[in-house]
Amino acid sequence: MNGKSFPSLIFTGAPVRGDIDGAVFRDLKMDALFSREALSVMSGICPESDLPLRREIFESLSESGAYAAFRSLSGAFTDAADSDALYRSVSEKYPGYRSFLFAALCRKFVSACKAAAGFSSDARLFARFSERFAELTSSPEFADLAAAAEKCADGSDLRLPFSFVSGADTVSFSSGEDPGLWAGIDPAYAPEPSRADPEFADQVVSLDGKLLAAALEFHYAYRKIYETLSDGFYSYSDEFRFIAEVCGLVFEAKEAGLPLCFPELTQSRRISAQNAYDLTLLAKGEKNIVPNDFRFTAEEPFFFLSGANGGGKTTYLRNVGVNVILALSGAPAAADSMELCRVDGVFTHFPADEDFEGEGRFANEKRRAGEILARCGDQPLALLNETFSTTVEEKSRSETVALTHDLVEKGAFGVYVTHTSGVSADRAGILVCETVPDGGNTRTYRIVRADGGGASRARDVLKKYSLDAESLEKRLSRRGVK
Amino acid sequence: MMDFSLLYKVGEHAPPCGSADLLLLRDTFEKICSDPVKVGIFTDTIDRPPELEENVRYRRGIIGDLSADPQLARRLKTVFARYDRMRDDWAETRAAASVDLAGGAAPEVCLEAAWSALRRMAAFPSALISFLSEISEITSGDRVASDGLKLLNSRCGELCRGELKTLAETAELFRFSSPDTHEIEVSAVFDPYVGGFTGMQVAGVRETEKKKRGIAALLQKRAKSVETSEGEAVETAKRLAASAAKDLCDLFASRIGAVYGEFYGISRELCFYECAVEYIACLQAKGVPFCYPLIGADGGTEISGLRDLRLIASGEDPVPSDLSLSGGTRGILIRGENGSGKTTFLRSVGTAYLLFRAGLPIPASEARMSVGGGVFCHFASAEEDLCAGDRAGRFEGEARAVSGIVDRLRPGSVFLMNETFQTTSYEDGTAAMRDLLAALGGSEVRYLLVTHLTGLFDPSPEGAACIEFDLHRHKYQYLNRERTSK
Repeated sequence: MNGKSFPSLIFTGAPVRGDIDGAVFRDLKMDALFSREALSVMSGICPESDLPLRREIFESLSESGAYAAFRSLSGAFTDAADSDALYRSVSEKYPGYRSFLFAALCRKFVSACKAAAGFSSDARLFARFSERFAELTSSPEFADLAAAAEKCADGSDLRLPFSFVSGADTVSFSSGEDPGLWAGIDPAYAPEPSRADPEFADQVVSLDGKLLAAALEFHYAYRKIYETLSDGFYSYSDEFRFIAEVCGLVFEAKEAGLPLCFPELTQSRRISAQNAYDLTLLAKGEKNIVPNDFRFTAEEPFFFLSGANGGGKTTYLRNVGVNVILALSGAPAAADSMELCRVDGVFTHFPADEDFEGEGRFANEKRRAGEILARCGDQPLALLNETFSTTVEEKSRSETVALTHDLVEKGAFGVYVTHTSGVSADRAGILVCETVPDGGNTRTYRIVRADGGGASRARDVLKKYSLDAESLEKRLSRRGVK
Repeated sequence: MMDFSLLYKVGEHAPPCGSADLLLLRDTFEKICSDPVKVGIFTDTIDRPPELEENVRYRRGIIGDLSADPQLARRLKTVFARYDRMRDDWAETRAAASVDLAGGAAPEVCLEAAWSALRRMAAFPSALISFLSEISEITSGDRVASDGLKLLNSRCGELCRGELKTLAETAELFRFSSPDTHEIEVSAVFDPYVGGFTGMQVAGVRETEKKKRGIAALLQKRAKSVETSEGEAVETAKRLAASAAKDLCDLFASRIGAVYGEFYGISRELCFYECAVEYIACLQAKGVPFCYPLIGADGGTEISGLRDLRLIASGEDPVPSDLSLSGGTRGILIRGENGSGKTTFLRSVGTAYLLFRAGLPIPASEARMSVGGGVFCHFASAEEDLCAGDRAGRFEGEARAVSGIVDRLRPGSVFLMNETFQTTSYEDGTAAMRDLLAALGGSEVRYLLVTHLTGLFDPSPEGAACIEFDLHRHKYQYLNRERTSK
């Protein structure tokens, strides 16, 4: 439940946070795709039993009308939250001003609650949410607050001109109509409103004694009722953002022609995806994103990945990490298909900035690797990027192999990008960045098993630029010319 | 407000095709028009063919008016060039008028600075009206028959009579005002939904001498009033008055900017028309037949007696050719010995498409063509410079370029290829081109391909006509009956 009495939008039980560390999102560049609030939600791994319910949510919002209704609901909650924050930011030294703000806030709160009660969806978690708000809005306290807020002036129609005489240094305030200097000018070009400071605002709103008295009375009578009714209400903000941002990403991916799928849950130890795309490349405006497969099994849960610089190794790590995290959040992954077993944590070990607080780079890497080993459960995903590359090759090799061995023993799935030659470990396969086999260094950005065969050079280049027959058909169809 | 344009009756953003350079049009038109700046603008414009037939016809009308009265083109060009300069003066004034009220300056300093900027900006609306009146006068009466110039005339008149007039009258109130000599009235609106007390606006200004009468009359009309001379309120009021003056100045600036924005750049568009008039005069002087193609809606093209403009501009007398690319014929494969005229033919076709779609006549005796979709070229010779290096790099460069064009194809697009995919093995190049032509053949794109990949001709792709150029006659003959696609 959110707060005291509001059910979560995305958990059947108590919301979970913090399973995945913030550094993981930064390493995987997910902060380019999602806000801090949405990532905070994604830091909690969705319980397996809730995954189908999350899927219902995202499926229900895949249609643009339903998504628009959701955005409207989310907007009502955001408006109320902004209004609440504004109200709380104004000092009690300005009671008149605060009272008008409170009246406006209550109207927004009432409006958001009613929108939530009326939000219709087949998704079970949404239905539970609506039911709770239907219950709230039919309560006598809520009805009383709603009726009183409706009656109380919120000052929105209060127009207060003042005259300023520079020479005499006097100010005249007066209520009434302004002289209409702007009649005849397109309102679109009227000056943007600017906010006065609370002191001045308080002074001006005090001009209309009758309205002010009503606002003060309303504030006094309903402040506590509002605090009780709204307790926990504002904790929806992160969940709304999470859902909206995932849906936004889904629409963006669809527009870019990327495939999307909900992973099939499996009880076997297996994570696999076909033609998976690194979504963070979308945020960079990449157009020709090259898909890759990944497959981690009980027999081969771990891979070393090596190859030329710029061949797509780090992109591959992000591809795996981002899609697994999306899947663990109940969101669709960017792949043709995906299978996912239970994963109890995601860890990354990427090169850190040159700030090791007295320890050397190698010691820092070693310590961070130790922390991962200490924290990981019995089935985590670990993504390591050039860990232990800052020492002599022999030491690097032995540390790399030892760490991999420990992770595999812990039950981890993972990929370890390394330039160190000759690394091998039990149940760890070898992946390489594919290059055009002509002696040159032309990259295809495909990651393949080291023992995989190569297709013809021209075919690979054509495939890379989506100029093979199948891709051409799809592209021209997408552009509406077929 | 939408920007007014002499190139587009209906607003559309036509991105550059990048074909004008590959077809050497800049060089060609520099032989026709002596001003390289105008030629640059002209070729940039024809490289962005409009998608809408309405815009093609719109341009044809304006070309007709300006060809009939070259003096009209010159007068318009002069006035709009002055207009652009005045707009630049406004932009400078606007930049100079930006007042920083957030700093620590005293309220009276802020107020004086804001008011000074307001006075300067208030001078522009009336100046703008006088310009628009002049443009309206030039394009009035029977001088023009085209939609474009008639619309220009009526839009200028509309602005002079409407909102801009009100704005100019309002601005006059502030041109000679000052906080020292005038009483400033500011209105404000309490809006709790956006954060409290908002909407500071200068609501009026009047000379201080009239203050007693003015304010007294004003206050009498209002139910409640409070007058204060407390230092704090006065300081706040000064800041708010400065802020309101700045808002007002910004309002004048943005409103004037909107009008300037509406016509800014017309002088550049007129360069296109000047060059178009010279192009037509050149064809007439050389006795080259030219025509405005009939506009068809089926995406097809039929041209008779097409001549290569580049050869015409160089003083040669090119062999005319015909082109039939309509009905079930989706593309044409062209082969022939080096120097037989394949590339010249391809260039003349590409040039004709760009000229026609830009609203210009083409050097042919008669034609029927369609609008929309863009004209795209891939000339392998150009790629060589970009991708000098090993064969892998060159082929990849070609694939990248072709892929970029595929991304831009739309229904009605024309895709011209010159020796594409010949930087890899013959076998791979043929296979790759077959895939591409098969995809294009089933689409609403028309293509022409000059190639030495002779394997493409037997069997020829579905819907492709195959022609071979004769080295001696620079003419082509068909190698196959058309194989049409549904």
